[in-house]
Parts: sequence; structure tokens; C-alpha cells
Amino acid sequence: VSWTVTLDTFEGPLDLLLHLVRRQELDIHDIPIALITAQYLAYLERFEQLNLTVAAEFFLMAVTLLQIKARALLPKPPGPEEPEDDEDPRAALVSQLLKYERFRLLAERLGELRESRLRRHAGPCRLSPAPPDKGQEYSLYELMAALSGILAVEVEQPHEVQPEEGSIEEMSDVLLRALERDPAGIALEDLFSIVRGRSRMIALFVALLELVRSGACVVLQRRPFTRVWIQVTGDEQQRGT
Amino acid sequence: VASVSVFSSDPAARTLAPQVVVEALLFVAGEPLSIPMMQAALPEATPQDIKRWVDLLNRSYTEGGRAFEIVEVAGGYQLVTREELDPWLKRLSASRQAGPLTRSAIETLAIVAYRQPVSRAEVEQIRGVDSHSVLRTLMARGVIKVSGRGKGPGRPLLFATTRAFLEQFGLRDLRDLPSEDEVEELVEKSLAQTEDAAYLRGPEVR
Repeated sequence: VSWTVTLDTFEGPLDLLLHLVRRQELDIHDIPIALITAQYLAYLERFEQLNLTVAAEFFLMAVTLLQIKARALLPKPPGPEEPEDDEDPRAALVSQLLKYERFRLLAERLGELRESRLRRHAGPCRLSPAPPDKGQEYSLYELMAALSGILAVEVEQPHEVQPEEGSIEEMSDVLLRALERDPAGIALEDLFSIVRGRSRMIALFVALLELVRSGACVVLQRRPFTRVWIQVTGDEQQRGT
Repeated sequence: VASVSVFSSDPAARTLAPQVVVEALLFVAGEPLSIPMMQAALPEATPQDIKRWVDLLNRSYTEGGRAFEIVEVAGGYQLVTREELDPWLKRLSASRQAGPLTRSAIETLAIVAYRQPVSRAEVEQIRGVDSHSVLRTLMARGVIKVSGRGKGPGRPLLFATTRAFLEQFGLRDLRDLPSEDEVEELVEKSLAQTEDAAYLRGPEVR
């Protein structure tokens, strides 16, 4: 079964080309087409290895690059020529890259303006706690590197074949026992360390929902964005079904 | 500074300086107030009066080391806190914070802002990628709108920025956009020889 990820923040072939040009400090007006084409195609291959859906535009660009290279290699046909044939076959592409780069920079400036605007607050505000830090933003290439790393580790792990285990009833027993040991409660993020295996984790979570519904345990959060705690309901109350 | 007849209806207000009324209006409005909107409350004030009072207020904020400033945005004035206060205010509330824009969103928005009115095809020609969904996202966020239809085949929809765009980016109007020349210098080398300018340019913004 293939698994497809579509990133809609994907920046496209021009972005990838500029990334390659910048990374190698190439002169944009004199791009070594053979080199850049090889690197570009290598990226497309990596996208596919990672099961990233490669948009048609990327293949169009690959064809354009190959066409540019081919035109540079072929002798000029005799006879009447179209005026463009006198030009460097790279000119149109370079122009497109520069135009894109210009808008990329304008977008950056706009982004700065927006940031600075957002730092000036206007009243009234609704009192609500700030969400946790959004954290660092990563480029697609960094994400790809990270994903490759994860996948590489995954492969090294021996595959454990396990019988389907962990019914919801079984998991509610596990959960109740764990809660009894720990009357102060279990933090939600620690919950899943109780069991191993994806299907058991899912069963455990469903069991938690069941127990909450039946009133056997409660889920508490003191303030938004703080830890979520799971606790057994007080002794006076009945333990679940 | 001046005793102002606009206060004559209310004896208690006679001792107030007129800029204080402007301050109160801006405080209560929260969002940008245009001069005509302020004139609704201050019928005898001229636009020049209001500009002067805004200046007076801004000067008193600076000199008094106050938390506020009045910015000119989207064709009006808005009372906002100083930029440096953001770290504290952020902790209190995130409700005014518009969500982040992705890189593709802001890139597309830049193209619309500088080339408006612009069709989806023109945007895609510059970005080199399908831009259907990102244009839709920008419309949903209210920063762009359909402004009409082009003359070309199929009479494509044309997109333009909205007033909310100006507000979100702290711009007085479209002429307030960072100049393209400014950025031009940053674009590596010169565009002069390779730029085939005509084929994409829509109507100029400035």
C-alpha cells in the first residue's frame, strides 16, 4: 500500500533551482546547465524515494532543463531562424528565476512588515493564554533530511511480528491498575509508555475514553496548555463497568 | 492648548483638550478610524485639526514615555501599543494575533499586491507552481478578493488585495508597499539584460 504525502507549502521547481544555485554560489547568469540538471534530477529521485508526490511542474522544469542542454549542444539549423534562437537558450529560464527571486524578496519584506505590525497591539484583547511557542520553521529540504534520518533508523529496527493483542477491556484493566498504583494520576503524555505497540496504544486510548464516559476516571487540566492528568474518580464513586 | 467649541454642548468637557477626545475615540474603536469617522464625533473639526491632534498625542506619548502610539494604517488612524511591548502583551493574550502565513501564501500575496489586478495564470507563471489553493486560502483570510475579470481568453478572475491586507501589514495604502527598486538592488546582479519585462507586467501599482 503506498502512502502519499502532499505538502501544499511546497515551493516548486523555481525554488529548488534557486536553492541549488545559491547553495553552490553559482552565477545566476551563467548557470552550468549540465551540473544543475543532474542535481535537479537527483532531487526529484529523492522526492520519489520518500514517496513525496512530485507535482507536474517539477517534471516540466526537468524537461525544460534537458531541452536547454540539448539546444546548447545541437548545431544551429541553417536557414531562417526564429529570433530567439540567437539568444542564450538559458535566458528565458534565468529571467524567470530572477523574477521569482524578486518576488521572494518582496514577500520577505512584506513578512517583516507584518511581523512588526503584529507586535503592535490594538485593544481590546480577549484574555486567553498564549499558545506554546510555534517553534522553528524548517525548509522542505531540512524536513526531507529529517525524514530520511527517521526512515533510516526505522529500517534498522528488527520487525516484531506480534499477534493482535490488546482488546479495549484488557486495556481498561491495565489503565485502572496503573491508576490505582498512582493515585495522584498519570500525565497524558506518560500514558502511552504503559503499553507497547500501536494497536495496544489505540486500544488504551479508546479504553480511556470509555472509562471517562462511564465515570470511572476523570481527565483534568488546570489551565490551558498545561499538562493533562488522568485520575481515578474518588472512592465513593463506582469504578466503571 | 485651545478651548474648542465642539465641547460647548457639555459644560463638563470644556476643560478638556481636543486631542483627548481623539485619544478616547481611538481607544474605544480599537481598529483604524478614518478622519470622516472621527468627524462624526467631532463635527466642527477639520481634517487638519485631527491630523494636528494626532501629532500632538504622538508627541506626548513619546515625550511621556507612554505605552502607545497612533499609526496611520489602511486610510485611518489606529491607537496601538509600542512594538517593544510585544513580549509582555503576547503573554497576556494571543487573541489579536493573526495566524502565521506560510511562505507560499506570503509569496503569492506579494505577487497579487504588486501586480494587481492579476489573474491566477499570471501568479502561476511567476511562481512556477499551481496556485489555486493558496489563492483560495488568501481569500478565506480576507487579504485578497476577486476584483473583476480579465480581458483574455476565458475572462479569468482577477485578484486584488483588500483593506484587511493593508491593516494586517500596517500599510497606509498601496503606495506604502516597500518599493520594488529597493528589492531590485538585492536581487543578485542586474536584471537589465535578461529581464523581458513586458510579458508579465500587469498594471503598475505605483
